[in-house]
Parts: sequence; structure tokens; C-alpha cells
Amino acid sequence: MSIARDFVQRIAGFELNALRAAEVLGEEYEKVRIRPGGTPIHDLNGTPLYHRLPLARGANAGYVDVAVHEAFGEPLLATAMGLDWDEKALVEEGKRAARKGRRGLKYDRIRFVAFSYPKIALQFLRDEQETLMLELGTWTEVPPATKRDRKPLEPENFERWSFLDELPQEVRRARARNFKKRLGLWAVPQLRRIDPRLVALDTLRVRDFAIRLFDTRELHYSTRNTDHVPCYELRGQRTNVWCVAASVEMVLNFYRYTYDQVRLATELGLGTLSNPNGLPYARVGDVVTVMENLSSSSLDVTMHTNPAFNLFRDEIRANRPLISFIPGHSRTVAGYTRSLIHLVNQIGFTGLLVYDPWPPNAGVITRWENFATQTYQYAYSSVLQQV
Amino acid sequence: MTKRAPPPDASQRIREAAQRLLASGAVGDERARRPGALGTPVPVRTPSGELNSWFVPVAADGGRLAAFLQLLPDGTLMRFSSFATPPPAADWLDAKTILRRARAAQRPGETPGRPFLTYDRNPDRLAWGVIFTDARGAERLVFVAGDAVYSPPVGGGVS
Repeated sequence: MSIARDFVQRIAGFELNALRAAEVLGEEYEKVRIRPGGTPIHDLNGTPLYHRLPLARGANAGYVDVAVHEAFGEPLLATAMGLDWDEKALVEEGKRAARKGRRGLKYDRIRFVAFSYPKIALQFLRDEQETLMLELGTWTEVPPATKRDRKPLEPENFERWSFLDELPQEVRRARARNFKKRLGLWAVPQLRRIDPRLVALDTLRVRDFAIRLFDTRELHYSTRNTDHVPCYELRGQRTNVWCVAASVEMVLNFYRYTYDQVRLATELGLGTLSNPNGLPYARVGDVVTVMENLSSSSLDVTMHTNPAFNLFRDEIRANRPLISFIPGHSRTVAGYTRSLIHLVNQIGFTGLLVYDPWPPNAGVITRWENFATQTYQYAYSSVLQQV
Repeated sequence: MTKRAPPPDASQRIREAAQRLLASGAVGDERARRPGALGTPVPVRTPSGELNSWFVPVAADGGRLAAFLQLLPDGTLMRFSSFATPPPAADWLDAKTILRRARAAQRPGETPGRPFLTYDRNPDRLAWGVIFTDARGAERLVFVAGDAVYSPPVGGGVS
């Protein structure tokens, strides 16, 4: 599946407008117009990969890359303002560079090729056979392909390679499904009368159409979305070194076990109110045994090292809080959010809802903690075994 | 300890970044979006004095602190945190109040320095630091986090 050339401008418009609505794209994109035309960029094997379309707002110019091949998984590949894209001028410059390097060069056609995606070159062809390839901008000749014993998608510097030929089949299949799904979003009847070629914050504010920009979930009484009442409480740590006791208290409270921090500190070996201490790293496993003991093994607790965002997401989806250890501190996690619309190859916003026992005797609820700016050392998940 | 001053316009840039984050609706609540709710950003320094991040207070009625944003020096959001029971803003923003609290840990012959916003091992554990210097010139750090006043815990671990 690929996008027809005349449809590219419309898809580019919807994608840019969605990013603008999510404010992933800032003010510099407000009232930007997508100019018609655009340059097809081909794979090394000749298949059209994407189009680069010029953008304009007054004297300011930019471009947007829109995939026409499903192998990218999503239509919007890249965009920039402040960088002009003038296809004609580039071709003329390329011709001049070609003449300088090869006086007798013959060709009947020129096309843009992603010779090492995303690096672009001008390919000079005669009777559909390449006679020369020059890297865009540097106008350095791209050497012919040589047989190299290497893994796919691990090219050497300045090596030409085919994005489509080297992409594993299973990845291509998964991306194709995603691509189709995304195009389906822009084909709904509510958007038929919209002209998306002008980018604006409110272009997609159309009756009966809501684009899902974030995937967000918090702990609540059940996994039924219709009855969404949060049911999680913050506990401040009672001393400056009892963050683990406070975190354990919060999770056990969620499961209706009531132990105060003094008792939990005794169980965890954290001293007394008048002579408290923290949990040494050599004993981080104690959290598992203490929680299991205090719940009479009703809770099956697991310690995860270097937890990824997906662990937090999956546990919250299952309506289970987690304890999260970061360097020197412990808190609990009761929700997550992640942006669903972002640029390909860029990470969107991922955040956690953190019930943090710090500062002592108060604590704070953090909505959201940027997952990219914190170091997650350990997480503890707990699964209810018996009721 | 060296405390390098942030660029003169840094505080304003951070305030604008915080305003943009709140206006986008990605973080914050109605209280934080009210005109005038956002206070002056306070630099958060590493215990050795380098700029780590910025603390941007969100005021509540009655001179209380409702919430805060913590941003990296480039304006990237670290977190938006709110208090379940808003404490007096002075506990977190007034140097005199913080110093008065810190004096509870003062030893005979010690002189306190100016309080600076820092953290206890992790930027998640914000605290004001006050350095006490004794007659021989030896320095000792005391943390003030809300109503908690303490010396840095001995040894590592999770606390």
C-alpha cells in the first residue's frame, strides 16, 4: 500500500495539523501553508519512498517529508521550518557539479534517491541506468555498491544501501498495518470537507471528530473504564529516611492492608522514629519478602531491575500500583501518560503519575514526571493471588 | 562551594517555558493556570553548587504553596507536583523562615550561610541547604525540607 501522489499534500496537512493540535509543533507552524508539488524521493531500488513538500509562511520557508511507502509505518517522517526546499535550484546546482566532475556525462533523467536513508542524492540516469550519483549539498560522488559481509541496516559510512531491501519482513508487515490504520484516521467522513493545507491549532476541531492525542490511565476501583474513580492515597514519609516504608504503606493501603510506618520500618529494618535509617542497597530485596509476609502471601511481589516504561504502563493497565526506586529514593507509581502523535524516530512525551512521600510529613503528587529525565533503578510490582 | 550564577535572563526564560507548559494543558491544573499563580523561578543547585534545574512555585490562596514545576535548565519539564495539603509558601520560598528552621540544628560556635535550594541525593528530594561554619572554618551541611531539618544521612541506601 502506498499513497497516491495527489493525496500526499492532504495527508501532510492532516499530520501537521494533528501535531499542531497536540502542540508538538510550536507557534512557528501556525498559519503555515503546504505548497503543492513536492519532490518524490526514491529508494535505491527505484521505489518511491516519500515526498518532500515545501512549506511557507510569509518569507519563512520549510519542508515536510511524507511517506508514500507503507514501510515507514507512519506518514509523517520529518518537518522543519527555516530550511527552504527548492527542487529546481538543487537540480540546477547538481547539474553544474556533475558537469564539473564529468565533462562528457550523458543522462536523460534525474531523480532524488535516499541512497542511505535519510541521506539524499541526485541520481543521473540514461535509459534507466545510473550514470552518476551525487550526494545532495556536498556534491560528492556516491561510490557504487560493493558486496559487503555485514548485518542488514548497519551500513558503513557513505555506503549506498536500500532501505526497503534491508528492512526485515516482519518489521515491514507490522509497519504496513500501522500505516494503513493511520491513513484510515484521515479518511473519516467528518474530515472530508476540511482543507488541511493550512496548518493551525484549530483546524481539526471538527464536530463529531476527536483525535486521541494521549494514552493516559490511573489506578481506580476496577478495570472498567466507565467507572473511573481514582482510589489511591498519598502518604508522606515520617522521617527523612523512611521513603521505603511510606512507599510500602501506600501500596499495602491500596490492597486494604493497614500498617503504619513505624511497624513497616521495624519489618524493613529501618530503625525507630527517634533513630531511623534508610534501606541499604544490599537489602533492596527485603521489600519483596516484607510485602509478601505482611499480606500473608496474598500479594505476589516481584522486583524488576532497570524497569522500562512499558512495565509501568502494563501494571497500571492491570490496575496495580508499583513502587519505584530512583537513586537514593523510593516513591510509588499510580498512573501513566504517553503522547500518541509524534514525529517518526522521535520519542513522544512519556510520563508517570508519582505519589512521592518526599518532603517528609507531606509528600507530593507528581502529574506528570517526565520519564526521559529520571533514572529508574528498581520497580516492585504486586499481583493479588487470593481474595 | 562555588555557586555559579545562571545567565541573567534565565529565570524569565524558565518562567515563560513553565507558562507555555501550563497553557498547553499537558501538565498542571486550573489553579496553576490562574493569572499570577506562577511565582519567580528559583535555581536548584547540585550539592556542589552547579545549576541542576529550576523550581517554579505555584501559589495558592492564603500565602500557601499549591504546587511547583521542576524544569531542566533548557526548559524541559521534569515534573509538575502538587501538595495534598498546601504548606505555607514561606516554608519553601522565604530565606528567613528557612534559616530560622535551620538554626534548630545549629551547634555552639557555628555560623550559618545563606540558604540555597538543592536536593538530598536525588533532584526528586528537594531541600534547602544551609552550610554552618564553625570557628575553625569546618563546614557542615544541614537540609531543610518543609518542617524537616536534618544532616545528610551517613552512607548510601534508599531513604
